[in-house]
Amino acid sequence: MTRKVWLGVAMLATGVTLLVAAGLAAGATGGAKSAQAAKASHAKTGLSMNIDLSSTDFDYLDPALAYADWSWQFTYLMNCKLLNYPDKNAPEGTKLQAEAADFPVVSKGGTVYTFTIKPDAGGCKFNTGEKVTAQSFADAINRDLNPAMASPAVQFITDIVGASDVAAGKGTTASGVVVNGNKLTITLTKPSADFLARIALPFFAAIPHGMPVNGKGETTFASAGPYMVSNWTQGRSAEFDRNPNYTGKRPHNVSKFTVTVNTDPDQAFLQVKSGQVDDDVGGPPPTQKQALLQAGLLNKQLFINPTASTTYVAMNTSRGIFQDVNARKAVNYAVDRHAMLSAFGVLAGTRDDQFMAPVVPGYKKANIYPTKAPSNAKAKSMYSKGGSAVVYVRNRPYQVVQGTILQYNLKQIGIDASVQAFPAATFYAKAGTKGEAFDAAVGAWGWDYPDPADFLNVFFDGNRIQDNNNQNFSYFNVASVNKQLERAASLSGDARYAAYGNLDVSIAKDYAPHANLYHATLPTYFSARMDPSCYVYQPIYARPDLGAVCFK
Amino acid sequence: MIRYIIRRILWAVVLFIAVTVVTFVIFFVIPANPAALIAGKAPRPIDIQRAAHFIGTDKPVWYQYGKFLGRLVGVQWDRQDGEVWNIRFASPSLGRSFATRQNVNDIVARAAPVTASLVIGGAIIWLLIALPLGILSALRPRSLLDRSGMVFVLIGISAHPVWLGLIFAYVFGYKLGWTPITGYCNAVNPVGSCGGPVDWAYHLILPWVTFAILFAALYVRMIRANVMETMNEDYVRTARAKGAPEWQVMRSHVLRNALLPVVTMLGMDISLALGGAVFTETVYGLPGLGRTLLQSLDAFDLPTTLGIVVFATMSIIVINLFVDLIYAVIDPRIRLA
Repeated sequence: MTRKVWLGVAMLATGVTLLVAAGLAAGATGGAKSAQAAKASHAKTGLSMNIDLSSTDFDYLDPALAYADWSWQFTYLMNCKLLNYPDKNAPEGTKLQAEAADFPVVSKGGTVYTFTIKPDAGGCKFNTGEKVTAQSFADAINRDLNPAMASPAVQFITDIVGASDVAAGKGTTASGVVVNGNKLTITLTKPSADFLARIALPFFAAIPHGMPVNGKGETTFASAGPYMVSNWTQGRSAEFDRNPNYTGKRPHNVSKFTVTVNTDPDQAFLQVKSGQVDDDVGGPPPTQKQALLQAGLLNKQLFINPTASTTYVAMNTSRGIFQDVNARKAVNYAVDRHAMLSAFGVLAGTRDDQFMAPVVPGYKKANIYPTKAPSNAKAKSMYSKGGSAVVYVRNRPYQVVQGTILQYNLKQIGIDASVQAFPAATFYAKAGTKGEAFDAAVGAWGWDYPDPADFLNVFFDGNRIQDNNNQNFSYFNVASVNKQLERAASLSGDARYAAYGNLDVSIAKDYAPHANLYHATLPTYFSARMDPSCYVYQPIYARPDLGAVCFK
Repeated sequence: MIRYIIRRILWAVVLFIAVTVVTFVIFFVIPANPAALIAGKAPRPIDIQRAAHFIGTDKPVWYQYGKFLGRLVGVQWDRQDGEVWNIRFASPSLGRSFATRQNVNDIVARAAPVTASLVIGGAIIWLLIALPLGILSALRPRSLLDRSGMVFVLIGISAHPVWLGLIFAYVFGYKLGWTPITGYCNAVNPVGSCGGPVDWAYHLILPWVTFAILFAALYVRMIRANVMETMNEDYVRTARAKGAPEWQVMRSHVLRNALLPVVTMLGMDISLALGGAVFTETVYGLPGLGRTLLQSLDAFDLPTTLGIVVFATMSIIVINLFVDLIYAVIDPRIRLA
């Protein structure tokens, strides 16, 4: 029996020894890596940066398909565009400037844009040695339109002459896109004041001649901006290297980015904290922000920046109690914006009662409804009929909490609400379906391109209401407002921004189709080896500018 | 034996069709439109129509299911103008992801080795823990070792893998720096600078232990009970009475019989663990099947979800069949026919 016991003990010991040995061996490797990192921390630029992309992967890197904001953070590094936003903080970072081309000459009727490509294309050149020409941009537009690409870019260029035909499979080049030497002429079906903002979208960056039409998206391809993607194994990692042929002025301080995707946010946070990686694109977990603040890391390693997004309660004006404008206004007084934002986390946003975010051109603060605390007395004075409401929310934990807060707020003014939570895809499908039986929905929106039309026309232009896939969850459709929105969209420059700024206030004040809650912020947590003095937050992409970062 | 295998395969086909039909139906009952998701944030109806045509969701559900089954067995077909049937043969395929447009075969082929690495490595560790601890506990019931073992069992069963994973990563990965906090490296075909057997094992140490603890706890309890029960059997007493050495009694009479159910459980648990690994994969950022499945559900990506369901179903069927056959070999009392 003794021998048998010892045999068992030996087996157990073997197992434990194997585990401990593996741990010690790994410890040695980890130590070596830490030492290497420490040794490399003296230089300012030219080092490689390890990045986590927690909880997700790039949707695509192919310029025709990439649409996620974290993908755009990296395509911004790779892209060369006709016009681009500078690598600067707001407000300079929001102003379009010439990149490969000069600002276009616009015809008198406002429908023909002629871009002249600079002789050096602004320093842009593909990493393969191919030059950036007017054709590089025409190719990009036509490739986006090709139905075999099924690119989401199509929705932004349907006003180019011939674009709809190409998108429908009738031809491969839009007749409104013409190349003549170093000139690119784009003809629109009607004047559009936001065309330059749209053509500066990442979808329309220069592509190499003959880039395959591939509905799956190219994973590695030639780029003409400061960086290029050298490897992307989907679901695992991606590597971005400097484009050796880029001679432009855009910063490219980091020699290489290695991005590990799909990491866990909590573990990614520990990795940044320990210096194993330098940034988690997904940001620090909400539960960690308070500790980082208390550690005095704000603006040293933790950066909080505004985004051009809005979170709101849309009230369905097409049915139920919220057909009554006073009920909608009452909700604006009764909703607890402070509690709603607190549910989203520490420093998670800025409370506001307006639709447009402060970074949207034309925004002007109006203080229409209370943002610090609800005003139930005022709310009750506006609406006292009571009633019931079905509220849709998305099903992330904080969103469910927000639904509960709204339920409580509505109860204070006599409205009994039932809250239904759905996964995001289901939420947007249901709330976006005309005739769906709901009364309010807690949604969020961020701009695609920096123009107030991408806020107000999306939300409140009743002429855009369709059977499915609406973003106008309030189904707000007032003829006079539709006209004013159309008029504002036809304006340009300061007049355009002023018109939208006024509409932002007047719609909230007079019609209140939304109870706007807050504009979210983007938290970024860098490792200790990053130099905070180089930190640039690109306001258009609402992301840190990774090309500009440097090291202590 | 042959008849048994044929019967099992036929059942597998029935099971497979049932699982895929249910998955398909669930997807189409949920009111979300994958075409709208890929058409952009505020697309026009025509943009959504084009996207639906691109991914094939503009066709009836039965048609899509037929296409799915056809692709799976390497038969592709189209119905043109509602009349002409264009049938051709191609490599079997699980289709193309709605969300990433990648070939689902590739997605599964990339994710399956990760899950297999986790599950097989974890199974070895849980057996390394459970076998000696379970047997020793049975040999010395109510001893200090036995009571310590039961404490381990209690903790192992109670502690959720996500919690364990977070604690292990914090202590061993962050505080002590012995292991990576998160991530995965291929054993072969390195991705970037990460790869090779050493990197692979180094990155899997914590996931293996996290994954193994729950099963180790369950197995300790099961092995202990089985060994204790077998030791009281008449044939064990008879063997001892005949003067057989204790090691021989243990090896030939006690362990051989006591561990028989463990083989069955192991087969079942390894196949079930393909799904159960999702927690460990999530907490350590392992790009395995479970994590990929969760992401595909989040993105409303039917082809990827179906691909993983098909793969997992087939794995469970094959592993269980294999275990049944092994069972017949190691236990002469069992005859499959």
